[in-house]
Amino acid sequence: MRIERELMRGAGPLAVMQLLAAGERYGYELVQRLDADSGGVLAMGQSTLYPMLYNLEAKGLITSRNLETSSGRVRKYYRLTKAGQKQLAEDRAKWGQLVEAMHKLGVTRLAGV
Amino acid sequence: MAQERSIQQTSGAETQRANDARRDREAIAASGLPDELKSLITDVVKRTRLRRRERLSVAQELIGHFEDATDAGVSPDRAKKSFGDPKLAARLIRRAKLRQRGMLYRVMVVARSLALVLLVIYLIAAIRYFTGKPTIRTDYLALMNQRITATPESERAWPIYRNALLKVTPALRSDTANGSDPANGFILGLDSNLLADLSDGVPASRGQPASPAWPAVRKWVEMNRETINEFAGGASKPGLGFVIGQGGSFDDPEMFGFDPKSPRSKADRPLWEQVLPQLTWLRGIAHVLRADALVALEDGDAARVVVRIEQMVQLARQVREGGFLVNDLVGIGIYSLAIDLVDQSLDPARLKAFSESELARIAHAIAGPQQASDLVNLEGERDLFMDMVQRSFTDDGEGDGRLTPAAWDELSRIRGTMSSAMGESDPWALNVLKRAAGPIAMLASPTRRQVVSFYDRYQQAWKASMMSPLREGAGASLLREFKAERRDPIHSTRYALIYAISPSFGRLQVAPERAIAQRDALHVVIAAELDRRRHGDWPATLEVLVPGLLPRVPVDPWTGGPMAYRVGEAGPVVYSVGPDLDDDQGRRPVNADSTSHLRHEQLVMIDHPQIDPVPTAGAIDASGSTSREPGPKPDADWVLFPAIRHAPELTVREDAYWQRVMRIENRTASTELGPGGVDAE
Repeated sequence: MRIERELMRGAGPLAVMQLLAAGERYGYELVQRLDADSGGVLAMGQSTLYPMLYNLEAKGLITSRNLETSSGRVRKYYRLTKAGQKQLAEDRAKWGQLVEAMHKLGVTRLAGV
Repeated sequence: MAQERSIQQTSGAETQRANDARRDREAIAASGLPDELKSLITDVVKRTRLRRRERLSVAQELIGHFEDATDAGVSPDRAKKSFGDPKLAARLIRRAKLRQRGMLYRVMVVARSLALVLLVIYLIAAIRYFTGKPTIRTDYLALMNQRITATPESERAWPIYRNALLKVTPALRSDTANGSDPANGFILGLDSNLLADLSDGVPASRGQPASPAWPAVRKWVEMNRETINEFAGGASKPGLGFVIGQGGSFDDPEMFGFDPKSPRSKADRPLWEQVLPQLTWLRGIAHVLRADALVALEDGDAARVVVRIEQMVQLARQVREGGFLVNDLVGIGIYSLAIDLVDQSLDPARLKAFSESELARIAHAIAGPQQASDLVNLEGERDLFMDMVQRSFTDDGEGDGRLTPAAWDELSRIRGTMSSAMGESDPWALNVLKRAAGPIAMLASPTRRQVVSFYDRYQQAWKASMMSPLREGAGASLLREFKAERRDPIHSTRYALIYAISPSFGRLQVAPERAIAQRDALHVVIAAELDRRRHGDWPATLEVLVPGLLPRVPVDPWTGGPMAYRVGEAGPVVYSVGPDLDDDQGRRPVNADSTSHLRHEQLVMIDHPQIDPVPTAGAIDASGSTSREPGPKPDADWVLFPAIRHAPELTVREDAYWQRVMRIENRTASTELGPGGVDAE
């Protein structure tokens, strides 16, 4: 199941920041983790991942640096800034409230059983 | 995780330099990616339309992305498919990268947009401005001449004055006296040294000795009797007849010289310039007549004194012929000079020389004006203004229009007349800059209708004010409005051009009221003298003179009540109680001296702040001797008779309207008529 674009617009940055909470990651790695860790639900068009990263960077929530791999290639790695960590904590709390509210409204699959 | 891999971190600066050294296309070409992925990256990067360094960064990231995909065993076709729409990617990447660009970039974007908008507005304005052409619909010169030539030629004074002036020995003309070439185009007058003597020279009177200049004046009068009689002949004529325009009175090289730098006829000069040149001469003639009257007074020739007083009053009327503000001011100045002469004639030591009928003639000669408007004729002033407007604005046929480049030409004509005469000229670049500023001035300045409306409101307010005494405050609220408008920086900027060419009428209110008050006091003294001759004593009150010798008791200009009167040791004292409205029995202010009249004007400002000359607020006396700052109201009276004897001097006031004239005339005759109005005290 793929998430609708509108939903993804809110969930995508949160998901990316959540993945970066564990440490530095590069673009393709994020693509893979989003796909794998969300069971394909949060798999996003790669064309939208990089603009999303640039936007988070522009907001000061993540930062990047170029690192050279052992094979001599240069990769750009992203990690959360302090502001990003704070934002992530807030967004996670909001997200939890949202899920809880959805539960109460019976929007969740369990409620429908 | 990045740290878990054995990778080597490069310094940011090092990487950056490496990036700078390569173009994005080179980086893509150098990658080992399949062509279809290279093509995809090239397409995305190109579509982003980012800066070179940004494009390189995006390219490197995408190269890394696809290399990672390839390393993960993803086929090029699948990697391409997974990437998504390159157009969308490029658009989103561009948007995100622009957000990263920082505040300076944003400010520059806004500034650039703003500049573009302004440029478009300027270009549109420039097209409108430079294509605008004024339409000359009204021949204001002809209108003005209609009034001037209403007097038959045989009844005109100017031809007589002209002939007499041309006969005046060259040494008495300031052109030759100053060693300047009469052909230089300057407007000249009587030699400044002579004029200074004529102004300062007064015979002994009221216990004071004659002034130092008096012997020279007396000698001059005796040597120039023929010229004086010719002047007197002119001053007996009903009109002046100073015709303007082609073939007119100013178009007279013999009289006014010819400017070799400006081969145009003088009739081509701006109208305002054509209505002024005679004034310096007429002022000189007024001083000559007065000097002759003073000689007659000393000699006990009362009949000649009376005639000269009559002639000076008539000369004052002639000067006002055109209805222009400066002419009015000079006319008021000459009338005040006549009033001053009457004051000296009524010195108790001289008084006996005058018969009853001669005293009555004097009273009649100076009678007439009851309010400021009676001494002011502004008919031509609006014509002058409207002529400038029609030469500066377009005309939509309904009274509206916009500023055109011709407005600068008009201003340049005003300035240029002086500049060429004074050897000045603007640098070429400055002229270009001025031209380029024209469209902006057009956008900022009011329209033709607004300009005319402003001027008319302004002139109407003053006319209303001059129709009644200042103390009644007619027009005061309107004038206060103008003053408030003047203080508004936006308004004063928009109307800057109008303020630059609008006259200041303030003086036209104060000077006539002062002259009328003094004249009223002289009427009282003449009536009191006639009564004394009949009854042996000075009358105890003014009421006894009414209605036989006075139609009514004159009004105190400060209170509106009866003018104050008492009999002092030397005769009658006639006075106004002054701004403190308290009768101090005719006590003069401490330090009262020859500036007492100006002090009076300053006092006027206390109670009538609207008088402050709008729109050229802040005008000051050029001499700097008279501050416009009002002082406290003195515990004293304004003594109208006997006046403190003082030399009738020219008081030149700086005023934007007159500065242009001033610059010419200052150069030639510093004591001549200054463009700030003239007041003979």
